[in-house]
Amino acid sequence: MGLLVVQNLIAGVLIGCVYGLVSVGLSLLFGVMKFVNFAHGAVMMLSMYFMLIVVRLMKIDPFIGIIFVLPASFFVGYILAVVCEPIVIRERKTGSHTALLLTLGLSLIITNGAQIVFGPEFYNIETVLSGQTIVLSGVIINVGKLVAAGITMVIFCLVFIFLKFTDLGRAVRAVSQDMDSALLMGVGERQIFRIGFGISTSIVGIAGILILPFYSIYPTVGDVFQLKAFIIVILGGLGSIMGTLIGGLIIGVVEALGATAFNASYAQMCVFAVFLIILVLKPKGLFGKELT
Amino acid sequence: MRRRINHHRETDTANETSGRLQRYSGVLGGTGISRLITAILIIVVLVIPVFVKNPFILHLLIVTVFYAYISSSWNIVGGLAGQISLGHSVYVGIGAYTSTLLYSVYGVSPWIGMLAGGILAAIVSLIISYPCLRLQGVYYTLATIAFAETFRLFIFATERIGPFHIKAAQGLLVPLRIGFINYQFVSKAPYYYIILVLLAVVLTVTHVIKKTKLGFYLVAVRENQSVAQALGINTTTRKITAAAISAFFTGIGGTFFAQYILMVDPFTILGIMLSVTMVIMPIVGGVYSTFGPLLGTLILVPISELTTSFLGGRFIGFNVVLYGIAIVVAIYFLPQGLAGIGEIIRTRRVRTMDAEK
Repeated sequence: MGLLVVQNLIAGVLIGCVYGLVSVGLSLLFGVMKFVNFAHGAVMMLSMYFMLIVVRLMKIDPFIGIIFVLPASFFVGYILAVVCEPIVIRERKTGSHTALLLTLGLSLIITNGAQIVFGPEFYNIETVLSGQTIVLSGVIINVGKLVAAGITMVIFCLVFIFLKFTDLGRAVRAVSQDMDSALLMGVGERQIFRIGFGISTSIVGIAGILILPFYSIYPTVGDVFQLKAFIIVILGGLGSIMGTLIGGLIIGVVEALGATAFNASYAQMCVFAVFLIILVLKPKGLFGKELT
Repeated sequence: MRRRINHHRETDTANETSGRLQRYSGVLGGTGISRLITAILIIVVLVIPVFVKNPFILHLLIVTVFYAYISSSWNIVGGLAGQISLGHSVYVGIGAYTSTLLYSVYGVSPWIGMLAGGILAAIVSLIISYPCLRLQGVYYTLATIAFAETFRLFIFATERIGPFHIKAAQGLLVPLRIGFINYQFVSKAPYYYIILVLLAVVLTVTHVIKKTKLGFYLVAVRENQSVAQALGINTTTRKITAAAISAFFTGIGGTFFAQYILMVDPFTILGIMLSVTMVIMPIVGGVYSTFGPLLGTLILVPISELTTSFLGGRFIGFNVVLYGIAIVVAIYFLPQGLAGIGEIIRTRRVRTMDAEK
């Protein structure tokens, strides 16, 4: 019994890393432009279907296919940014949540469009990692999840280095801290928005690929991750990269423990309960404001 | 000298015309002819079931009016108060489950159950509102989604609470017993009239709120909450009131729907898709206008139902793609919704007149 709990706990931690990865892209947009992207999950779904096409139709090995997914995801993000830009600028003065509704509309188009094109069936991509497990003193660990968590850590480090040490990263941080001063300093806010969006979607695109060994592909696959991503971003604190990772781990663990104690649905309820408690007690999240 | 006199005359014409337009504007707007057309439309709407017996068409009408009804109910908090709730389906579900459970377990007439459901929905909205309405914008929306999903998951996974068998994902069937007292009818016509009356009620309530102090306070909250608070308006109380009224009517709608399709389950009556649909209609039709949600529904629902019926199969979800396109187009070109078109035309006309000087 205890072994099962440990097993689920470890799985929760590993999947929590992936949740964090999905969320960090959202956190970048949320922190940089206060932009709520409801199409985040849809992009993740697109990257998975893209991989499906690459592997099944073009008969390219999945590991090589990753090279195509990255620029494709970035491109999708860039296009979305261009589409949303006029509305963001228009609403800057009135400060309403039209951007949320706009991306919601885009998400509906993308998700249901995918359903029409690909059908509602579940697809699976077989890789070397599918279904592989290793056993550590009686505890079964899914290799796919392990690899996903590992790569997530690498990406988190990369994002951290990017924001702290590169010029572009500094520009992104400047815009998130004080838009007007950044503009005075010559930072092009439109380009930052587009590139930020592109980076955000590239990261979820990678996240989508990482879960392929242990997750099926279907039109609404992104929605579940998106909702958790919002919870994690708020839990961890807007604009905090470290907070996003910690938030992801917390959610992963809560979900795992909830599933062990009750059932899958109640586990999700626990996640929402945690979210609502945080919203009420500490809306700024665990790690607050600075984009570090 | 002469040029100045001409200038004066041109401006007078422009002012006169827009003044004339404004003088005839009432709730139903427009000139005398417009009023006559509206009256004719109302009569037509009322006598349709007498001439049209085709169940499919009647079903289409009922569904359209139903969506107009719950969208208008949502608009009390979404449009009037500016709080975008994406979890309103929870109230529909509460209304539906309350009346159905009271009816199947205790034999309480669904009419009473409808009111009970509405009141329960309002109470739940108070519980939800108290922590959530302190939040602004996106946070509020996400919180409403979280609450709605929590409720849906709970119903989805729970077999029974005490004497009430909720039957989780299976759903409940409303025990079939035709009769007015049991809120069940053989033909569709009575359902049509009931939902029409409900729609009229909610539209009247919306209009009344707009004219009262509550309405003006809500506009202040909607436009700039910080300023409203600085002016001494208790924004939280107003928002909570609007939310409760909205929830009450939405809950009643839930009961109606349950009695119409005689079934309640977490997939139809709860869930984010219903919540999103409730929001799309007002956005497309115009959140600031009383008739906005109705307008949006009249455009979107028939198209949606027709595409679902005739395309079907491979094209499931096409109607949702249309919803998405509608929202994007509305936000881009019609921020005030379709109801705002009148405003746009009027502004352009005055502007063209000014340009003709």
